[in-house]
Amino acid sequence: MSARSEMLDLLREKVRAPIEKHAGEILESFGGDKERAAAFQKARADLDSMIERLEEDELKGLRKELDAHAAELNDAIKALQSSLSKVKDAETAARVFWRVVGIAARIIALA
Amino acid sequence: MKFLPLGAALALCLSAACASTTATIPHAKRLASAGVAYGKAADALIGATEETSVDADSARLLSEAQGLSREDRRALLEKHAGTADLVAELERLRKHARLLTRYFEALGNLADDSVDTEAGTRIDSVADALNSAGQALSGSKLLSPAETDALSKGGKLVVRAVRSQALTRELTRRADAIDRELRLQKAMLDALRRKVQTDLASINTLGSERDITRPFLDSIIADERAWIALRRSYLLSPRKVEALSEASDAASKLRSAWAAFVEGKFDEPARAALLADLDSILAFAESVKAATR
Repeated sequence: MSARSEMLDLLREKVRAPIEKHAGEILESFGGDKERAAAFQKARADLDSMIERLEEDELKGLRKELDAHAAELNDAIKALQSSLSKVKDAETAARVFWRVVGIAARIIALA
Repeated sequence: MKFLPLGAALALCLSAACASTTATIPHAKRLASAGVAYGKAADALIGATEETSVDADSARLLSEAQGLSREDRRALLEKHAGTADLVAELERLRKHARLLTRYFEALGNLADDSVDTEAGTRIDSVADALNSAGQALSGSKLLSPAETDALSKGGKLVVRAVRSQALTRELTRRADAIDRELRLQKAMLDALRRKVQTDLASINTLGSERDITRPFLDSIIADERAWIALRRSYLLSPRKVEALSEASDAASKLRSAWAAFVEGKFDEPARAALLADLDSILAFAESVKAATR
């Protein structure tokens, strides 16, 4: 599988899909904190932009960067899945989601 | 050594030739009608897929806008402007499918015994338009580099003469070009399936949460009939992805049928396989009608 397909599958299926499923709970967990809600929503929009860029561009250095950060990215995705599986852990899920988006952004920026 | 009289030999030869060439015209007709059915079905399916992609983007937009200020919502709306590019790409693919339909209609007309020059001129203009549409699509960003590369390395079909001179002339001129357009259809449909699969998942997740789960849990369903219809549409939408997979299979089979027709592979197993392939293309066309209803 090409690095582009691998990264797209990870971001679409293991990050965006579960976040979309739990977005309502995560937003509710912020209570009335508008700043945190806005930051979470901005991270979702950034993730969409990254997916769109990967759909359109073939990044030459993606394999190297993906391999270099694979362990970190996979650990963060596992932590995201684990926090989303616990009903009352929406806040942790939001924090881990920011981390995943940050790692993905770094991989794409360096590729 | 005993020789057959010339007349008897000629009669034998002609009957053998007839056995293969008389099968060619109905064969051409069948291929043409399968091509027409494929093109129409692919056009309808891509249209439905286009709606799905736009709906998925709108569902994300609504979900991601929750809790944002007016200014942030405006920025978010601008970020989603790229959907228009995808729509333009899908419209190009639909045009390609429609031109493929018209090409096979023209090919069916050429197969008629009473071929006139008008039919020949018509197929030329349709084939030129199809080729231009194919060139516009071949650089699509939806295709992976491997797919783009594979498209540029087309095979070479060996054209066998057909009883109809007009058909033979057409195959000699464009066998490889049409083969390439059919390979392009398959590659584009595969690429589209990869994208639409996740879009449908998003529509289902975000949409059913917004329209089905929340109103049900909060007991705020204003119109129960509308709620029932919406729930049905969410549950049935995955059929479109299956139909896209069938469309890609059908494009592949149509291409095999085209190659077999061009190369005159009329032995019994090849003929049986071709008929089965053509039947499955027609079955695909029927399934699309059901999926896009």
